[in-house]
Amino acid sequence: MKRCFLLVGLPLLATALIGAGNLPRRGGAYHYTLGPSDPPSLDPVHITDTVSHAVVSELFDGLVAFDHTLKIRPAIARRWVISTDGRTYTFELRPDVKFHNGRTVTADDFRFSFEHLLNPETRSERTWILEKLLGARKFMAGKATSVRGIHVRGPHTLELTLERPFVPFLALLAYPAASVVPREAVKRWGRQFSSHPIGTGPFRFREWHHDDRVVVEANRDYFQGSPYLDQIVFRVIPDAMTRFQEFKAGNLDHTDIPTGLFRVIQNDPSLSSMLAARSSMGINAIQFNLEKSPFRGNRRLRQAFNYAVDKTAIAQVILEGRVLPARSVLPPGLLGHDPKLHGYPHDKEKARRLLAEAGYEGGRGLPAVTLYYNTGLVNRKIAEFVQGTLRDIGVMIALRELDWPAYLNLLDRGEAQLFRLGWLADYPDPENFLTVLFHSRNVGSKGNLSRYANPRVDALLDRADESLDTSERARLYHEAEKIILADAPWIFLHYYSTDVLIQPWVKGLREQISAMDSAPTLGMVRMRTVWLDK
Amino acid sequence: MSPVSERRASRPYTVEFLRRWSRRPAITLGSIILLLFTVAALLSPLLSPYDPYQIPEGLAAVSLLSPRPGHWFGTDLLGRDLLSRILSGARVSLLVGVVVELVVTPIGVAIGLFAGYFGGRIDSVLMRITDAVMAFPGLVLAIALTAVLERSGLLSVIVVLAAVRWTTVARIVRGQVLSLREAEYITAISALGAGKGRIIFRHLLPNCLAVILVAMSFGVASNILSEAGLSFLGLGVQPPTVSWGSLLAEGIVYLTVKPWLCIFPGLAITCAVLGFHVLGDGLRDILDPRLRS
Repeated sequence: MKRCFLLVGLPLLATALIGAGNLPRRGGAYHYTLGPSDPPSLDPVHITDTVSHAVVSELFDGLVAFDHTLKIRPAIARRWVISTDGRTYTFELRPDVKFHNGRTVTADDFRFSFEHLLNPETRSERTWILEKLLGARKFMAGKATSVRGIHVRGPHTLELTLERPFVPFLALLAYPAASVVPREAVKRWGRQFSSHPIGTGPFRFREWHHDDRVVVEANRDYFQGSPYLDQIVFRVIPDAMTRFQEFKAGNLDHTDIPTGLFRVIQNDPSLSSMLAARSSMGINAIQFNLEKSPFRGNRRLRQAFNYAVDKTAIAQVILEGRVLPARSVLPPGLLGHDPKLHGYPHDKEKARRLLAEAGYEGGRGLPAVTLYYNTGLVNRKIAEFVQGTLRDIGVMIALRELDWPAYLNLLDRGEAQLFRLGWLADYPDPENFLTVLFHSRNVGSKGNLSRYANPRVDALLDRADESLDTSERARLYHEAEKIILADAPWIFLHYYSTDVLIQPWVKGLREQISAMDSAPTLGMVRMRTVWLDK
Repeated sequence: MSPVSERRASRPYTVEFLRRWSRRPAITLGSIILLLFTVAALLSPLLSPYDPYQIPEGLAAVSLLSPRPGHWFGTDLLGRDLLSRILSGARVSLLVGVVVELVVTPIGVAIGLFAGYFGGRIDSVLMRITDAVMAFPGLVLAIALTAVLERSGLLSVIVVLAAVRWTTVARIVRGQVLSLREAEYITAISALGAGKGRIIFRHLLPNCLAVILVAMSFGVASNILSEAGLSFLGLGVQPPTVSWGSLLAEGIVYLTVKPWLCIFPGLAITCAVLGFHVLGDGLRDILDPRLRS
């Protein structure tokens, strides 16, 4: 009897262990969805969107990378030293990193890649990532043949020098645009490099059927270890409902959640166990154009609008409780975020009073105002809601919907009076919110579309951006944020969230979703450590 | 034979028309449906139990209610009464349907009459233009035109649909004129020295009225559907104005969980379209002399 028990018991025990997910399993294809759009490019220097990011980050590496807590971790750089003045970064590269074509990566490849990014002929949209390097602007203007701040100290030692200290610089280097690319392939393909991407990443490019799929396969020689998956199929599926149905049929390993189904999924026992939801570093807002009447120079009017709009109702009803109503500019999780700020809680009486003090009692005399928004069900509902609630305090506004390219064009030209626009972190630092969005030097398409200009805020931001002391930076940003909040250049609506459904057999994905991811692209997630238990 | 040539019949034409009307229950049904819709649309501010645009306080408690006493069709995401919104949408949908037809009928009739009567080069040119417009799928052309107009709203919907729709009327009238032109009574009045204008407006046009009326009835139905299609795609009326198509578009995301948000606007579209079709069919039956017993 004992013998028999043992014979049966051992395999059972082994099955139980594997079943519990202790041993990652190799093999299989991961069915990924990029959402509705084809990647605009797979060339790292031309990537500005989350869709391309998701694919490219599996094909390429830079000096450093983000981990899922958004801390910087080594990638091709094994270690680095930052000089005491905060301007010089010396990176020691791993000697064992190879491009997909077999050639070993050296420090000179980084010099080439960075100069390629900054070269005006490349026409990269992401030059700002390296603009802070010493001599970068001169090089971009064609007044220098090389960038002074890039120095190759040895085959595997790279030194980067900045014009002036900038604490989030390492975060910029974690961007796909700062990836290393092989000079021979870039020279050979030119603009076509996007269709023949060669990097050092854990996956290598296999094929791209436009508007349908991108297929990448495992790079078994990857310097941090081979991925578990054999390949990833990135599928383009225009309709959210179709993606959801494909997920339910088991044809997608994760997907986003169609508008209107979040509560249903939460209440469904089997679907809710597949739900991964988390807050993300972003804020949605309706922005006033501070150079246009009637909002120019009328803070009380802007505050009245802010008090009139019930952000909790937007978060709870329109966004189905996925998100938190905004009470500040900086979202939770970001340096300087202060949970004690209370923003503009819904208060109709206060709104009416401020409207009267602004010179438009009961909305009388207020010139015509149009609220612009880009196509999208949630955007439209928010616009209708804002229109409806402003009507309650006597303010009549018109709505106008435009599709994304036309919309951005209109905003860049500064022609919209009132418009919806959100902001997602490019890197987890308050500079990326406050300076980009509210510094007067960035008025216009650089980010400050509400055209906010306040010398006190500018001065605080300048000091904070250059400071090396984290607690001082937090204090300065916080001070600037309080002034911005009081000036009410936006109606602060809600912070963003990332919500996906993940199949039960997918392991190692859920815990990697970070505050800078968006659904369904999950661009920050690294697929190397993901495996399929089926 | 044609209705006009039967003026000598024992009863006046209108009496004959009404007698035939009363013998066809389908046409009565169609008329009743349309009458109801018209009354609902005209009196929607009085009939609506709620303000169709008012977003109630305490939104969370009234959002997406299922149909129940007080909210017979339920409420939408922003807590607005769906019945009131459908009544309000009826105004837009019917208005677009009828106005477009009123705009295109004179244009289409004129083109059809001239092309059919004069034939030859005039006919070729006019009909090739018509063919060119008809060669595009109507909705696709409408979408393209909306993009060109760079704005969407009630007026642009009417313009766009009219630009697509006139071809049908022109074709039908031309076909009718082509056959009438060869009729003996036309040859006869022509021989008696009647001028072109007299022949076209006194003889051809009245004889085309039957087909024009039928075409208009089907046309209104088709316009209601096209408007719904455009609004469904977000190219129609802009919020807060509602039409049945935009209500349908709002409801579609909830199709599997809150189906009433689609069912009621969908039913409204179906009933109105059915009403105009039944009316059109009935009109054809009683107006077409060849179908007379």
